[in-house]
Amino acid sequence: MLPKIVLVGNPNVGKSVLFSQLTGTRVVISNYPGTTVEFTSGRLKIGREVFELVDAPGTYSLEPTCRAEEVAASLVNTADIVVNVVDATNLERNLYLTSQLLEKKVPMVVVLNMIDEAAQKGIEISTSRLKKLLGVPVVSTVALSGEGLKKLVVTLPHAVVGGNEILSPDERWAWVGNVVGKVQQIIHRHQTWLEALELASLKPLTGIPLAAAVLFLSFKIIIGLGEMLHEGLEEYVFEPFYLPIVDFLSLRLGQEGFWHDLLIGTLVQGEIHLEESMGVLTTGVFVVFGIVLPFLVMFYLVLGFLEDCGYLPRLAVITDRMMHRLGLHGFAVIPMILGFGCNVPAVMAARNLESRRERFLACTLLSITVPCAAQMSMVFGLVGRYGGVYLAVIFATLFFIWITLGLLLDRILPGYTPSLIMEIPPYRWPHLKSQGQKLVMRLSHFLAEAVPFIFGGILLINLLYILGTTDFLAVFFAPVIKGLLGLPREAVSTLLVGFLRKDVAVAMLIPLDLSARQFVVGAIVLVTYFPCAATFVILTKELGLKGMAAAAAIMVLTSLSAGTFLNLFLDTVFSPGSLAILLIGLAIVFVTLGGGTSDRRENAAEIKLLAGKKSDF
Amino acid sequence: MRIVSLVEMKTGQAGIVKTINGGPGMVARLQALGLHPGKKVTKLNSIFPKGPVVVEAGRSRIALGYGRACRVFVEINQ
Repeated sequence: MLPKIVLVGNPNVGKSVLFSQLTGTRVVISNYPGTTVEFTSGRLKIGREVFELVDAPGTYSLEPTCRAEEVAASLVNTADIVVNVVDATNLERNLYLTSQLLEKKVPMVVVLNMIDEAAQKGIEISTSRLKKLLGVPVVSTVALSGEGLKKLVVTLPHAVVGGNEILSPDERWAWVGNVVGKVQQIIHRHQTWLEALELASLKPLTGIPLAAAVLFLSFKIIIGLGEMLHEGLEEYVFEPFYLPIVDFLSLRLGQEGFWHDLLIGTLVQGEIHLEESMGVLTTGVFVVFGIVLPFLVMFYLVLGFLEDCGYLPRLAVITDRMMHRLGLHGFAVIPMILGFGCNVPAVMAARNLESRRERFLACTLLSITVPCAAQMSMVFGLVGRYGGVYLAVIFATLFFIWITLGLLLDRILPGYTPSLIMEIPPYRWPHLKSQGQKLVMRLSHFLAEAVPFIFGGILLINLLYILGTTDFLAVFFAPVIKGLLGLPREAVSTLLVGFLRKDVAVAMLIPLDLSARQFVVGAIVLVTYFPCAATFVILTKELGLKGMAAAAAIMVLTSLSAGTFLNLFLDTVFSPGSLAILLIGLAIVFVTLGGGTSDRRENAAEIKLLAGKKSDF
Repeated sequence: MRIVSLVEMKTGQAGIVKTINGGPGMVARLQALGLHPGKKVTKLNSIFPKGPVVVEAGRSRIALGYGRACRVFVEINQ
């Protein structure tokens, strides 16, 4: 066992940056509380000794109030050395945790991070005085630029046990107040425009238009630039360079046979079609690199910016009121937004929600109604042939399901969701280098995760087709697929592949020659009926088998009803435009009239509490 | 001197936290974020009626949902 160094600190103080600077490992860095839920560990060599360095999830206290904090508190108990990372711009709040750590009697070093930002804000902290008062070494750093890190590394072996007695919370705050009074000086400065913007984004009159503008712009950038990149790649890379290679291969394989079907797929009118041929090297490669990747790059660029500048917690405040009506609160907006990239990290982020009820609600809603970027980019790519208004139908349907299902679940699930308590970080300028690192890391995660599943899915489908299993399933499920959803029987293979990867599954709709209505039904069913394999695994881990079974039942039911509804009404009774408006309108009416069960229950519990009865919240 | 909840405070008004009427979980969470009895807080704003309240305590900004903001009481000069 290597001696263990644990990085402990409040959320959003730069532990992850420090960790990646010290170990060279990439970790996700964001400007909002609660990015690290499970810890990351790496190795650090000092002189001749090797240490295990652990990046604990951010915590405000060693008396945990959520999962991430539990992990942090238990990590502290196994540490040989604790490195307490402290945000120099907010010394007071950070020292509360420090005082608890000092009580643990474990060798410790305090890192005063973001000392540059503190200086900008007119905060001066005397490290030598702080060192004397805490009784442990103090090193000031700027983790992003690497300033002070060398000094930290040489100080680590000199970590000592501090001398605090065990205090009550009130005594701790008194101690903190005393220390801060002795070491910190604040020079008054005028408000910067960034600080003015901070206030503006929290006020309804300016905050709501700002939120709308931010979301609209993000959407525009992702779709617009993603589309450009996708078309550019197709025109200048795939057609002139890649197509000749697969053409050559196809000829060598004799244009038919087992290997040809598997690798190249079937020819469309005697030619290879990158989207439709359904071979590993044609559709497989093109879906990943030609369609999904361009949109994913844009999505993660925009998301990375929003995360690092600190806007997302403000969005959580603005949307809190509406989310409350669905039995969630504003913080749940963050996993929802992450879900538009990939549902896996979104489910992981949902772990930071306080109660089991909230986690179940958020995870179920998100895996049913939030399509990931991979899936969405396929839908965007394909829906064009039918007209953009069908895209509106797809989004309106998902929004409608999100609202109604949320309202229903809030009513059915026992208990209530306690309301929001969240720290709001200051705005910061995103750091270019860490933005780049984050983007590269996320894309490589996608490739590592998606490529085997996409290729696997295409292989599976080709094998099942060759073995004749698809025909059997098609006949067996025909009443549902044909009868209720109005899709051709062959669509059964699409749903099968959807268990593995949604993007390829959407691509498989193309050769079926669907009408606009059928395509919309297919897309909605694929988005909602079941999570992809990767999400399924993480979701089961999160909800447990029983919870997952419940969620799965909800998914199948929702999906079938939505699909049947659209099959019956789209283009027959309602035009796509009016259907979209109708669904959005209905959702808004429902949420205004019907919501707030959780709020009422919280109120009742509060009255009980004030009457002196015990309650958990 | 008057005791009001965070919800009843006016935007821009400052006060000293007196009591937090909540279960141990809520008290511990606010405590750790720096919102504890004896602390001076300033209300920055509240979003919509019944929406969350944002307060500044020291250098931290904390958002509290309406239900919980109702249960934090502060003493104001008035």
